[in-house]
Amino acid sequence: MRASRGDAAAFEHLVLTHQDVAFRTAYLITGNPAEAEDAAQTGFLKAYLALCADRFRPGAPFRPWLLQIVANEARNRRAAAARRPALTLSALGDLPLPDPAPGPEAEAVASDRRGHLIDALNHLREEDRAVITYRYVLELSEAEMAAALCCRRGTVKSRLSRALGRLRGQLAGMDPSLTASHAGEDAR
Amino acid sequence: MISHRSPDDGQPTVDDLDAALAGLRNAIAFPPTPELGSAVSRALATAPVVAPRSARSVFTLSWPRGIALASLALVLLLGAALSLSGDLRSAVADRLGLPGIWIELVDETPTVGPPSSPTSIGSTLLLGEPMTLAQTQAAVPYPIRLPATLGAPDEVYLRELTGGPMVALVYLARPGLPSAAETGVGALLMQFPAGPDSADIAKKVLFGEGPEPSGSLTEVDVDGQPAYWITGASELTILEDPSASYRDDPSRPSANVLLWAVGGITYRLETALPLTDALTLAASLAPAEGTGSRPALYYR
Repeated sequence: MRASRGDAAAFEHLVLTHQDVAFRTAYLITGNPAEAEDAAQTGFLKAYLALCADRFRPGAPFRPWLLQIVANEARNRRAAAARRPALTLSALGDLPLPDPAPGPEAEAVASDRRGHLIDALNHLREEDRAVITYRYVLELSEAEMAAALCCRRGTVKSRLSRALGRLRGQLAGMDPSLTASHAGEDAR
Repeated sequence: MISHRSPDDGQPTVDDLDAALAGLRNAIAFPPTPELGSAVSRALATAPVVAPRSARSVFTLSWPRGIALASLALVLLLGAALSLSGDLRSAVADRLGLPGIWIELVDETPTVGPPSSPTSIGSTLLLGEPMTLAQTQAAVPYPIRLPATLGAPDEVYLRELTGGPMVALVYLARPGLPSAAETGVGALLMQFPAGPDSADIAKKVLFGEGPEPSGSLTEVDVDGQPAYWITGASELTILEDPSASYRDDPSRPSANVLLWAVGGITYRLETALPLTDALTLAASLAPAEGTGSRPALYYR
């Protein structure tokens, strides 16, 4: 890795490659875009200095290690702010459906379904929401999730399983239109 | 499409929930990602100067010293840059070819702590849980081998590695077996199963940048098997998760070490003895008697 030999240009390329996932990981922890940006930027700088100081195992994947540093930075900033994150997930509007010609009714059903799911996610405790969003929204690997969650890889699956169980419970207690929406989808 | 809810408890099925969550991949609204590259570059331009490893050429530091790679007693006097040169590091690892062992040659002094006290050998030397020899043998799927020249160990420890259980035999210092300053014991023999691609035990050896290198790596043989004798200030780490890319596992100073592998088991002898005595000790290994050792060797 050229960046590990102090090549700043090579490291800037690494920043461009990973800035999305680093920023979003930090945002899911801080709930604040400015703090997430600071955490991601500081995380990259610490990663660079650590590379130069030989604290990165040659040949090992870079991203889990970076996410661990960024997540730690984000948690430190959140702790320093002495508040819980006010993060609320929300859906992007007017997403296209996989079905090429769904029609306005199907689009509304799918949008409704996403809305209920996101609503249920927002009702979860922070730890559960984090492990689910890392897996499904950021699509982190198991090693990356372990790094971002600051836990062992072996515990990632069990934490995800428990979080999904609680999400299912949330969905069961929510608006019955969820059932209706899926009944409609099933009928297609 | 199958039902989104379990028929009995009103909850969505696991599969349907999984599919629904997968559909959220591009559906969550995030703030736009700021452009971090230029900001990081600006910060790097004003950051404290860190000597780039690439500036210290491996060749100018090491090869002019007249290394004889073809020598039977291969002594690698490699320069500092080797520690961060992935290709060369791999070359060293490949040349060693010892499963479960990761060697790095570095130019920073490893952290040196106080010698372990007799009451905390297991924890300070990262050895695991104390057990009797018989208990340990019953717990591992390979025959524990003892150095006949030393006999029964003073202490035995068992620790689980990713490749299988590691047995550590501790011999306290005695006449003819000097205490190693780094460990506080006379000899420490680790044995553990390891696959060809695993690296449970990492060792950073200080080679330094001065006119004379601090460490050496000598190729020898134990019972006809390739073995390596590594001297100089070094730091031992037993990796909790060898697949992880970060290093936060505890480390400790390490004495000189003899490394070899036989029958799928990697052996690591750490001692202050000179090389000739270490080789004699290694060649005397034999399965422990009266411990219920299993006859078959442990191959992976």
